[in-house]
Amino acid sequence: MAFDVKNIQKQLTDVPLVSPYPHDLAVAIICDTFRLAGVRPPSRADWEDLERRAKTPALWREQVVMLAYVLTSSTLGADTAAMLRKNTDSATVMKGFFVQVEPLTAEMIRSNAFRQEEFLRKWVHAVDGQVKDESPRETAARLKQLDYREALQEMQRAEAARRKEADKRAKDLADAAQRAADARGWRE
Amino acid sequence: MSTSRFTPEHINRCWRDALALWDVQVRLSPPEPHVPFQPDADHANEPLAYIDLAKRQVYVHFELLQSMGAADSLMAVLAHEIGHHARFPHTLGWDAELRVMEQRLLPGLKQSLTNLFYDLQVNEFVGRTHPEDLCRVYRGFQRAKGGGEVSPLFFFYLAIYEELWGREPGDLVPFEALAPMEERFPGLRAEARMFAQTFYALPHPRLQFLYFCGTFIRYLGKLEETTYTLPLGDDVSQPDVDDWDSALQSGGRWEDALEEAREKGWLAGSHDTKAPDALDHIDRVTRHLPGSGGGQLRRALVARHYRRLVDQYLLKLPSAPSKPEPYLRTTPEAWEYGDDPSTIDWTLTVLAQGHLAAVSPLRRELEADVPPATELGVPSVELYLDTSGSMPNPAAQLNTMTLAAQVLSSSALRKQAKVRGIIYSDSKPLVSPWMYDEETAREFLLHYIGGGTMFPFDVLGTLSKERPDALRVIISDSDFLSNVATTENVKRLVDATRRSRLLVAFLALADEHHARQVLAPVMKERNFRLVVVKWLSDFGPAAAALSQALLEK
Repeated sequence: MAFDVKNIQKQLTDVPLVSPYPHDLAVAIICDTFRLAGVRPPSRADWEDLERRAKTPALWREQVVMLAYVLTSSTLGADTAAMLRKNTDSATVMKGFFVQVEPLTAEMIRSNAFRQEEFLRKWVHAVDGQVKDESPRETAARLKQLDYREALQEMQRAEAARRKEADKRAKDLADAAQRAADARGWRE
Repeated sequence: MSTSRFTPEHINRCWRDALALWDVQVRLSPPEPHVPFQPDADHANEPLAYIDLAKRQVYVHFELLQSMGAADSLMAVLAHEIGHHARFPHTLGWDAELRVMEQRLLPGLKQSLTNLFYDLQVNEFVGRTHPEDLCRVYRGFQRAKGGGEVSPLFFFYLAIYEELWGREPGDLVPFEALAPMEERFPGLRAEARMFAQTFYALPHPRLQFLYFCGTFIRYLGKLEETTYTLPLGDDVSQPDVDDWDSALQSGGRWEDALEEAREKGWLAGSHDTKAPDALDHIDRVTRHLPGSGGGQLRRALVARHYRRLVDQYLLKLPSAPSKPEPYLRTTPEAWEYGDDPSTIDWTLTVLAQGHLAAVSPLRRELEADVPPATELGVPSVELYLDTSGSMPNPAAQLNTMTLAAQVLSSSALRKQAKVRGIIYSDSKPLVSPWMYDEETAREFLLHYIGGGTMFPFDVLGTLSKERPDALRVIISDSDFLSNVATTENVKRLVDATRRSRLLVAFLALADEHHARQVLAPVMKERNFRLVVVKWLSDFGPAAAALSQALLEK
């Protein structure tokens, strides 16, 4: 059995965009998913540790809430409960997942189909699941293509180059404006 | 062309499928074959397909499609063209709005990128179900062009599709160009990926366009030289003057999107996002339009700008309904056989004819009570407008003297007067015939000469003899006093004043006392008036007050 990511995305398009869960309830929902799989959920200390490790605690809380929401609004929660191995260490799963989705905001997950797919696939990857109708190689390739964290790192090169080019462009734009002013020219 | 491939049945089937893809009710004529613009030249330079949004007609270059090896992509090509009509841009008004914003962000851009922007939107939709068909077109286009270097713009554009449709790098872009392009534009591939994964998720097309401009600027090179030829890259019609005019008024609608784009860092500090002056804006959007049409378009847009300024000063007079309801009875006439029986006024007939009423009925009809013309006393108006180099070209910058002339002219024409304009500078003044409508007068009064200043006393003399009862207004500044400062010229001015109903010198002067001294001989004349404004910006309101004083009281 494997996770049907496309179908889960389709299910998510049919529900309201905003998660209604407060943080504590979201934590409880995630813990319940582990309990349903017969796995010991992360302890209170584990959650505190996760929050402490987060670069931006507010963003991390958004991700927790969104995870709880997608688990309950689609078959993702049930599939996870069915597919989790009994010997899984829930704290390690959560730790790995939050590292992977670190730059994703709730707004991105709600409004950007690519980021939503990335969020789901990274959860599947974190719980060591498989994606329906895909070989592990295809899944890895798609995950790499969707990796926003990596894209941001690569974008730093582009941004650095852009900054260098920006000066030249600013000069070009100023020249163009000057030429336009000259073309208008009137004496006074 | 191998005619067997594109049979009418095949084309119709593809057309139906393409229409069904968009799932919207559209009224478009079935596709027509494109007639090559240059039949003898290589057809690779002809457009592959395009849509005339005004005629709602799609054209396809079937021969080119076949030779590109993309004959199987006909349905996708048709769906692409329908997409321009159905969604992107849908209206040429929206296209004009984007072009105006584009020139604000990328001033001087030679070839608009809006078509490219719509293609990204349309292809994402068509490519959800037919990505390979579109890929075939882009590959075929490069083959038809015979290889060669690919522009950074086209490379980046194709890289976006590779990322969007999950293709390997090199599937659409030339494989051998991957490394050199990455070296020239570090991070290009990452940027294409980020663009593909961000652009389509943006909630509003305005934000999409700002993001698009902010990203693509890197691959454009010199804005004033950038041109591109892409398959399906120039397949949307041009906006007309109404579209442009309303687009130029749309700046306020962009402020929120601009603010958001700045916050997200899409627009660098070098982007001047301040709304430019209206005339500067008109200049920007028309300067790079191809052909001689740009001049006409620019004049039309400038004329509309001045009309709006004029309307700020002139109260619109309530006009009588053009077709008043008929309610007045006409005088009685004998009713005859064949006349409409309902026109018989039986009460009047019985009262007038007594017992013979039934024999000779009287008829009366209803007619409209047309209000009498109330402005019979409005004279002909001659406007002498100084357009010397001390004032800017009205098409480039607000010229308050021109505005004053426009206000006076519009005001007079709305009072059923006729107007003649005399545009002068140092020599060869432009003299219009009598003008009876605002549009003509507005166009004429936007003329500009831009040299020294010499008031055309000879023209004034000739015209004052030709039309002695006209109201004459001279719009100038202190240069007029220099012109009039000779005995001969003063005499000519006095003579013309005597022959005019009224001659008004409407001047921008810092020192009114000096003017009264110079114009002393003519000031004695009953028909002469001197109106002075201290600041150029006062010309508009002063002209409105003057027109009210001269024409309405």
